Amino acid sequence: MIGPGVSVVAAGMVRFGERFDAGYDELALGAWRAALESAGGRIDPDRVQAAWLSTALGGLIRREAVTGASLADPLGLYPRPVTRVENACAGGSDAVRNAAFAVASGVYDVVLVLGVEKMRDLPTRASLIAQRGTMSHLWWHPRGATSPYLFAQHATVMIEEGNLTREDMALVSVKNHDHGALNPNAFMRKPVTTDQVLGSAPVCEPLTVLDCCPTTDGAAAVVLCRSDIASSFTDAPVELIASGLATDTMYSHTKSAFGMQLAPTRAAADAYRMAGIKPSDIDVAELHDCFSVAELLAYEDLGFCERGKSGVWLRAGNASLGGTLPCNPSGGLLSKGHPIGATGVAQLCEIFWQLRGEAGERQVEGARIGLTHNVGGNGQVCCVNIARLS
Amino acid sequence: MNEAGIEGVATYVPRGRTAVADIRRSWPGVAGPGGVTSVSVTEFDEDVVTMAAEAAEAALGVAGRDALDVNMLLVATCSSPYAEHSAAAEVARGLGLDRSAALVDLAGSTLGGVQAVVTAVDAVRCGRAERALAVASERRRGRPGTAVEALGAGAAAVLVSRHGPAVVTGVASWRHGVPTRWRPDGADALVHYDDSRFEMVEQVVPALAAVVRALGASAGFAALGPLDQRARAHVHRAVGVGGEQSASELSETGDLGSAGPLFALAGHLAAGAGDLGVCAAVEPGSGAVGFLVHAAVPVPVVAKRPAPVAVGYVGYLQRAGVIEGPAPPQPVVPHAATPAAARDDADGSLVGSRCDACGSLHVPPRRVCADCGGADLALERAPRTGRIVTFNVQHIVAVHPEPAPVAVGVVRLDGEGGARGGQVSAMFCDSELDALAVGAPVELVYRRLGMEEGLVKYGWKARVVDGDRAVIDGATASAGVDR
Repeated sequence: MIGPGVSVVAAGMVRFGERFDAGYDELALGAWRAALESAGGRIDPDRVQAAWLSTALGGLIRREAVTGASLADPLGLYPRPVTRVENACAGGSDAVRNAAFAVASGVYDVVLVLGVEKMRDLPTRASLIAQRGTMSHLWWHPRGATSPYLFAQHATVMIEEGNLTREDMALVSVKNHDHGALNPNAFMRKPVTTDQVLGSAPVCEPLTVLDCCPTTDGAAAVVLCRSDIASSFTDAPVELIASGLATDTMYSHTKSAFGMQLAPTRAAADAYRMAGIKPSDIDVAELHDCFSVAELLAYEDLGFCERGKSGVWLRAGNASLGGTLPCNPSGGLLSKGHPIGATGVAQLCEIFWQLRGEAGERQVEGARIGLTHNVGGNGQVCCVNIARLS
Repeated sequence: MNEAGIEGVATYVPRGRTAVADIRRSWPGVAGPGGVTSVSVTEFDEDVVTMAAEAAEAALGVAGRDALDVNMLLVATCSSPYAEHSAAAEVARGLGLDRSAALVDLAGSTLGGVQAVVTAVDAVRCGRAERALAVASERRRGRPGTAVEALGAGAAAVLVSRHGPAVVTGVASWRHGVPTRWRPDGADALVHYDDSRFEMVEQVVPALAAVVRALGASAGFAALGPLDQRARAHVHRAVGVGGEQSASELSETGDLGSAGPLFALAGHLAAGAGDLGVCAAVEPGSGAVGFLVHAAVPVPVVAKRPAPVAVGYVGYLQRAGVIEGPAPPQPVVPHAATPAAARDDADGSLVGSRCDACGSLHVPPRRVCADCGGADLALERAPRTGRIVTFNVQHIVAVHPEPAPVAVGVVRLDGEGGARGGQVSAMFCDSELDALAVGAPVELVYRRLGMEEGLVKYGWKARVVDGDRAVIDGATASAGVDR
């Protein structure tokens, strides 16, 4: 429980993808309207007292400063307070965390968290290159490392140590594309085979194109409120029971280990302690699979399996729909897409629907506790949030 | 007046080789330099600054001296990346020379290499410097489709001090003739007045003969340059001094400009002590300059030669910048002339900060130790060798002008501990991708990291070390050239 209790009472997102039809403002507005709609008219927009905006690439792609007004304008929220959160790819979950803490503090009753990213106003390669800047990785800028490297560097060591095979990584992509095919909001809705993953174009060896999340436009929104008034907005509120956030070095050469990530491990431990649960209590998880190997790292960092056993655990089917702990039923970043600032918020949207039994064909039966795992940069920041059906 | 002598010599040749026959196929009927079968070619991230740094590091190493022992650096080149800005300063930064070291740039003439050694000797003799490092570095080219299109790339470094065993006993200069090769202001390729007989008989021979005579004709050998094989033979006959040991390598590298005579000197010194010899350079229209050297005891010489790889004519033109790919991606961080770049100055010389409390070394320097949080750290030169911790081959990259794929990774520095300290991030260079492996030994070399608005950013990259690649004695290096 966070303070006196904070609940999610509405969630909405736009279809992720190459949204050449929509700009930043349209994406944000679409997610906001979808969230209001999910509450069936029981949330009066004027009840929302403050908002948190998560967006990462404004300064890099649009080359302009992004402030809270970048949300207040398209939604017509002014003069209400809007705080812009930027924490690389973990910004969405961190925005949820900070909004929840503001509600828990008693200052606000009802708040909005909205994540939005417009990435495909640039060619995919240029967009990839612009992301260099989200890593605080100044050391690398002239040296040619891009974001896939930040996870591929773990894969090299995990394979070298014999804890992982190249096929295990491909299997993550196969699983998540299978899940994403069931999600109408996902970007890549076509199943892929292991051979297709292994045979697609190399990006950063051993990662191929199908091991990497697509460059995505999208937006997602949730409305949070004090738990004691949640029932006035919905009959099935989802309580946010824990949030952990941790940091690690932003450089590759000052990492203390490869094949594990310190910040996610610590963020998860803090979140489990706050929630008073253990990993085996989780029914469904949305993981930060920006690259296939990242999901395998997550199984170990989050304690879903033992260190060095992620490949075995995956191959046993644990992470698939119908498995012991379905991971990324939404399709994850690999299939659903990864509009950076929106991702953490969209993960919570999926957990909201899963816990309320509204996830359609990809529903995890009987899910009561869900977890979101949202990693920024090279693992230099991670936010883990946990929610429970009230 | 002090004594002055040479205490160490090193040469560096980049790994690329372009066969002259390959170029001739595209330009049938065009004559090439006599006796030259291939030319050495710089990689995309090499220039005269990086080659000079490689040769200079090797010269210091072979002489057993530290960069901080050098108080004058002279850099001779006709192919500086800058028309205005000291190339010597960029080399000094890479080497980590003391900031008080004098910097001398000798640009614009192939006589510069010999002149740099002469100036170094003068500086030591008169007490201006205790130890001076003279470096000549070139990557010239002629206009496509001309006889002088194929020119070589390489660098040579000569360390001069009061007690160097190879004593320089005489110096002579002679101005002579009209130019037959020149590079106009703003042009990036040599113009050539193509009459080799005239060039030889009326320009080269009289100028060299005058210098050799002035130094005393009893010299047992002459290290001459920049001349092709046929020209050297001609000069040796005409001037009446003995042959030289280094000729075999010239046929593989091509004309090395101001560095050529110093390569010849390295070859002579590597062959042993005793001989009195002439090291001279000649440039048609400018004349010649030479010095007499006597090695009473052997002088340490090292030839640094990454294993050669064949580069086709298109690759040659790409590396020379004649053919350029699409414009580089817009930089996220503005160019190298920023306050931020100035604060990172130490980064250029691979200097780290060592924690007083736990001993961890951090490269680039940190103000707070990543291992123990200690705040008492002191700057220190980092080791130049290590082993690969992790690496990946990237097929989509933001570097320019290198084509993908480009490998990047983390290297654990030799002898350094610490959980977070003791490692560097680096791009890999000059390495076959299948030679990359966790645990593979690497050396760190000074390379170009990119260029913005004509300003080059230099820094360190990792090169996989193959035990057979560094040849310790002289001119017979570089087997296995693909012709």
